[in-house]
Amino acid sequence: MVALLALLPMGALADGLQSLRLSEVGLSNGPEGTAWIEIQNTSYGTQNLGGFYITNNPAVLDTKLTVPERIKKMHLIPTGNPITKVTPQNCIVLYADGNDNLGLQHTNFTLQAGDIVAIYSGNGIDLVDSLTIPEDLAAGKSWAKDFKKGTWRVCDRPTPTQANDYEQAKKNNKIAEFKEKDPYGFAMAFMAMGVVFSCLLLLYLFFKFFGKLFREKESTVAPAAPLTAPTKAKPAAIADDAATVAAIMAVTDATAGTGDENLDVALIALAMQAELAHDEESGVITITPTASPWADKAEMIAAGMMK
Amino acid sequence: MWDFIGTKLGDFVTFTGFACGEWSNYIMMLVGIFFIWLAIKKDFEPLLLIPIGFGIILGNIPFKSIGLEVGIYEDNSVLNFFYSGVKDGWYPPLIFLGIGAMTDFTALLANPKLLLVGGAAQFGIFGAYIIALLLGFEPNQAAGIAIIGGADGPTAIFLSSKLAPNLMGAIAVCAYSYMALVPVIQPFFMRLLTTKKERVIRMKPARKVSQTEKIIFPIVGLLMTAMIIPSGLPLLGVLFFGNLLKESTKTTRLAKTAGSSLNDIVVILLGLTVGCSTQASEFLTADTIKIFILGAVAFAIATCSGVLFVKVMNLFLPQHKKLNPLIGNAGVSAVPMAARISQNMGLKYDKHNYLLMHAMGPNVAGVIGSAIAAGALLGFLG
Repeated sequence: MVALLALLPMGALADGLQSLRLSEVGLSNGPEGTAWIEIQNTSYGTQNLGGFYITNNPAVLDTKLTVPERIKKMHLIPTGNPITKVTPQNCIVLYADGNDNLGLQHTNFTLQAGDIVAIYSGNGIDLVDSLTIPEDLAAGKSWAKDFKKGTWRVCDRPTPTQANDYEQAKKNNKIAEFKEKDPYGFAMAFMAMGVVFSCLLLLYLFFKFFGKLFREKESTVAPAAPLTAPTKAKPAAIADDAATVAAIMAVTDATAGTGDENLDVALIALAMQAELAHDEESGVITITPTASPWADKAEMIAAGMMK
Repeated sequence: MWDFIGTKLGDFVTFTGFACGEWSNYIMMLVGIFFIWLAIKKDFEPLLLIPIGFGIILGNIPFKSIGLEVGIYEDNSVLNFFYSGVKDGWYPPLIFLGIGAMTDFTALLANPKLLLVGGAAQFGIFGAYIIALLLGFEPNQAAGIAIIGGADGPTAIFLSSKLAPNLMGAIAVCAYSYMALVPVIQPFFMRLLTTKKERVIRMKPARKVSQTEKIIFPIVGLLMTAMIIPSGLPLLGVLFFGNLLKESTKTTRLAKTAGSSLNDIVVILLGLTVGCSTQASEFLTADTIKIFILGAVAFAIATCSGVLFVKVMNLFLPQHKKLNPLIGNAGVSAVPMAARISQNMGLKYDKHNYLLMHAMGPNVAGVIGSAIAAGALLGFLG
């Protein structure tokens, strides 16, 4: 407990400290030509930005500042409003127009090229994230973070409220296109079922003809069955398969049948024997014992393995 | 000194789960306990419901996030490390490797037309997709939810992690819950859509399948599916690879490991972390209720379309080759539960009609079909 107490910092940090990240800034391409700051929730849980501080004042980075001094230099993002709750993997945009009377998404400062942007947690001590806007960031472009690579770059096409990386933007476009062109999903159902059936139909045709070919080849090549082998081989095969089926039934059939397991097993064994008696023979009879294909399935079911 | 101890203990109390908890956390813990009860008392998929149920309790223990890196969503935490297999989608392919190593495709190769039954059951996915769009979900979310209709847990996790990560917890729990409820959902629709005469159809015994055919199947299967739909490669590739390990007869050790030890390890980590991901703030929402309703609808459509498709096929098949429509439900890929239901239903109407082997055909075809469907959805929307 002492160790645990030692781990606790003096002040409780707000939730979301690990998850709210500066993701993009633009200088003049917000509403009415204002600057904007995008903050992304990188987690899979909702995070609240309310109660955090944001600023463009580099003086706050001085660690010697007292908490009240630092807080005085920053803009407090108001609490108690659902707008500041950022849903998983989504973003919130704040407008740096120097007019926070317009709403809680507006800050009391503006941004210029070369400025810093810093977010502090509600205790005014912990720096959550910060960035420096490049001196040469042109109007109409933005300074965006690629979360996959962990790097910042100039973005020719700013994407406030959207993911920054190209792949994600492409994905969003695809989704938007389906939403617009196929609002009821019929086209998707038609196309995707077409793909499913095409693949399975190809497999069906291949194995139908391949199977037929293989059987013909076997019946042509295989010599007549030796007379001495069958008496030994056939009962062994029957016993093997019947035992396997019995094993399958022992684990699967809890409800069906008469309730008498021994009787069920005997019936299955007899049925199996009847089936084998009329099965198509390969033309090659061997007394070498081979593993039944059903043995593994029995193991699978017996083990209760499932997906 | 006493002041210091008092302050620290006061702080400590604010960090306990009791101080941070909300009523929703306790509800989720009860859900977790219910899952464990279902698994132990009712024997509903214990291998998954116990890890998921315990994970739900674990994931809903409240704490204050102060950078200790303990929560599942906190970078560098142990749970977050385990969760990467779900989040980045590499657990599902490992499970598919195990499935491939355990699955016997003999029934399918003996009667390849059963592949089409496995395809027909995928209508459940797209029926649910259409309804999900009507309920206001975005196309990517609708696809993530609809894949529940494939009755395939790993596929549902794989696709939702790519297309709708914020709904993945609800989708995964829903998929596995309904897989456990397959014996409850399917028989009603099977009875509804078949006549007594159809239920007693005896199918022609399966032909013998050579080992050569079994070895060729995973290679040709991979080429014919992944070449058409490469986005399904992570699932289809390892499924067929696992099957080749099994059928080659030369890599029995590898097949056994993939199908037992490795598979068990992944199931433990997957179940636990999926359960952990169902934090109350994300799980107890109206969307979760909609997802559970859509999941049930998807299962119902899948079952019905499989059974009806067999009936349509029977219209074109000669008398001695007719299929028993009771195997149509097995087109969903819940292996082997769905095939077991066909078997039990068949025995109920004819004590000598053993459908298990025949039903395993569409059942394993359903595994391939749902993986292709997931690949198609990912290809179109990802």
